[in-house]
Amino acid sequence: MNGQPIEILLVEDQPDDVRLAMHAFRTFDIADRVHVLQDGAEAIAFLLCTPPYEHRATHEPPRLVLLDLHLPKVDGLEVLRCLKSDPRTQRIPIVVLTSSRQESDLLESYRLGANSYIVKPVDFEVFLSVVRELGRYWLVRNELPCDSSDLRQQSRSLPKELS
Amino acid sequence: MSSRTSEVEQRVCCDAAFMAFDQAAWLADDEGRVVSVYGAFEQIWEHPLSELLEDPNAIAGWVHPDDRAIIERRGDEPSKEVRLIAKDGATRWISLRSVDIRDPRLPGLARLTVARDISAAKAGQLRMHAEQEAADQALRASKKHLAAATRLARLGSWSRDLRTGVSEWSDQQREILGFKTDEPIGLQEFLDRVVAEDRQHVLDVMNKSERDGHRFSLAYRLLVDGAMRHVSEVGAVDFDDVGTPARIYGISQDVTEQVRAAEALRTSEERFRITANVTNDALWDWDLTRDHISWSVGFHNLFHYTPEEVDASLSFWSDRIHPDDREEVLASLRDAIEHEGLQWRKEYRFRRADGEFVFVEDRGNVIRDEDGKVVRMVGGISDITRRKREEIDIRRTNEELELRVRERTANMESALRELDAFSYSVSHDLRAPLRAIDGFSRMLHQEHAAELAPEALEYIDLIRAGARRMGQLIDDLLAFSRLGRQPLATDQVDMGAIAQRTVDELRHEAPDRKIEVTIGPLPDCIGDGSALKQVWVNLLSNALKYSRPRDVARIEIDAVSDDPAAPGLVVYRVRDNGVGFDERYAHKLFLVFQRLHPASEFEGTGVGLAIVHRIVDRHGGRVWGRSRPDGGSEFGFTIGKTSGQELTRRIT
Repeated sequence: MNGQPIEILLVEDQPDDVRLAMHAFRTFDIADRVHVLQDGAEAIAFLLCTPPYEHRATHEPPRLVLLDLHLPKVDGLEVLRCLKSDPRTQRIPIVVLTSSRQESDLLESYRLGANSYIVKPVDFEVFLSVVRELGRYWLVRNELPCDSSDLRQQSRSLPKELS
Repeated sequence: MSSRTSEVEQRVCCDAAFMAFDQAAWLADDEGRVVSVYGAFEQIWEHPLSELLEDPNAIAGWVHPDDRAIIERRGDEPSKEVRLIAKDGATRWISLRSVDIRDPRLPGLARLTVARDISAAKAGQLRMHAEQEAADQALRASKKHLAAATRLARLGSWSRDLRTGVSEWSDQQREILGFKTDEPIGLQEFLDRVVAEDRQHVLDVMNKSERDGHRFSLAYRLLVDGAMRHVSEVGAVDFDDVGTPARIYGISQDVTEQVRAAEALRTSEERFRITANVTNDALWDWDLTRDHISWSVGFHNLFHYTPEEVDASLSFWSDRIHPDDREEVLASLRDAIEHEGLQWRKEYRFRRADGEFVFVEDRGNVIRDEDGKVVRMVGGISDITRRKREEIDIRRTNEELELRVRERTANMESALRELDAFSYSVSHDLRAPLRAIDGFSRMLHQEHAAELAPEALEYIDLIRAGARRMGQLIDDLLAFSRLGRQPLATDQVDMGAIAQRTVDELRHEAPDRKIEVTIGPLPDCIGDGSALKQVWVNLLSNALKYSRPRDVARIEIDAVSDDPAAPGLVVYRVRDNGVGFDERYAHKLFLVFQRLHPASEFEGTGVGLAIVHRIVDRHGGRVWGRSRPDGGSEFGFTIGKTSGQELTRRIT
């Protein structure tokens, strides 16, 4: 943690995908507000502030979770189920970002309360535009309940690349 | 002797004579006054003579009132009979005879009347009359009874006077012979009715009886209106006083029904005997009143018991039923007997003489007496071991088959699950490295362009193009494999609207192209809207792709019902002015990954038309492609059995 509040939590286990995503975040100058976790169990612990993340405060949730489905230990659907059924975390926007076009994954994700579902494009140019749109929409346009007003304050000071 | 004396003597004589014969006589003058009386006057009349002397008409007062008129009738009647009610209440008959005489002592004609008691004679006469009457009545009654009896018994009677040859036939006899009541018939007419084979016999028997006078009995057949009648007859001959045969007569009966019944019985008995011998079944007849079962020869054949071994009791049979079946068999038999059942049927195992059990089917009919009590059962046992074995075999085969089907289904299900997992892995894992290839190539190109030779930069572009094409291939392949399993909707689909929307989208994606599209009236069809949309997308994007070399792409969309490829059905068509294809390879058009153009000319993965084919096929339709003489191509497809009539309606 570098003192900046976490705005995006990326849950992704593929190092290549993490690097590509971080490159995209850097492109839009938001990489320092992104935190990366590599498996589902860690993601749940982080968001519910359980060990090893007990020092975190639940009232400082990220503005967006980008969640892969194919994850070690606890898979993405299980993470969804867990977070969306817990009152402390159910309002956090979760966007599924996955390689799967499987109809069953889509249906199950939405059933469990995913806020959006995006298939990772093979074309990197397309991926870049996806990341820009995500940032623009979830970090700028989207309104969240008032208890995260401080986050909203910060959203106005987003880098110009996103606006 | 003086005349006086002689008169007295004469009178005494007369008196005595009348007295002796119980008669009375009196002489009356021409005025009716009685002048002399002789004989037993008072015995006969039971009245004093003085009454008559005082009143010449007194007699009329003495007789029965009904006969008074007879007495009072005067005239020449020489004799009269009158009744007299005697003092003892009996009726007596008196005969009166009168004769006119001349008496020299009297003027005019005198009348002498003689009275006689004829009661005794009269009684005899009356008795005879009554007896005669009774005899006549009895005769009439007996004739009536006889007629009724003969009618009831269908007894006919006939007789023939042997001297005159005249025959008489009773009505019933005529009926038996088939003659009308008034038809004149003689011996010849009768013989004509007898069937030819019996005629001589009839004559022989009758002739013999005429000769020796013995009674005869005989049976013969008649042919009446083409139908055969059987007659049984008995007869005899009457002789005259000198012993000459005078009359032959007979009584006959129509026994056709009895003969037929007997024949039928004989036939059915014969049939039963033959059946029992021929059939392999063990037929049985159980007399419940004495617990006796008779078995046909089939029982010995089926179960190999010798006739000596078999005893006729029920227990002989029931002891040989398989112990596991016995209770149930006996219970069902009891049930059939105790309840109103008529038929009984049961399958069970029965022990043969060699100790082995065979499967049998046993069926019986219940016979009851008038009170409904079962007195007898008749039935048969068949060996159904073979059938049973076959049933068991079939059941086992079915079970094995079912098991195999279950195994196959399980295998198939697991194969499908594996396929799903495979697709998932393809879609998920195969794309990840492609993303890395494309992403890092792009970064290399962007961030290190200055350090790379122009050729290296070109290679990087080629690497990225390859990665993108592979991504497309993976997506198409997944779409194609999904199509085979996805269930299809059956909605009313507006094909015209879908085609129009598809054209609009394609125009939007290629804003720089000059495209002319005409869309004719397209009838609706029944199918899955989103799958059919895919058909239009693939066909129309192909049309657009392969007409790229033309300045203006011309695409015609229509529907016809007179296409030779599917006469009478609606054919949706897409025609373009593109490069067409080599018809020699038309059979490869709809195969997956098969392409008829090099990728350098026209990009593509070879999946589009395979998808079209699969969707149309799953809608029960057909799809085909033709190259047009002017170079373009034409694709047509049908959906199910949508008939041309709908198209005509739509267009008009």
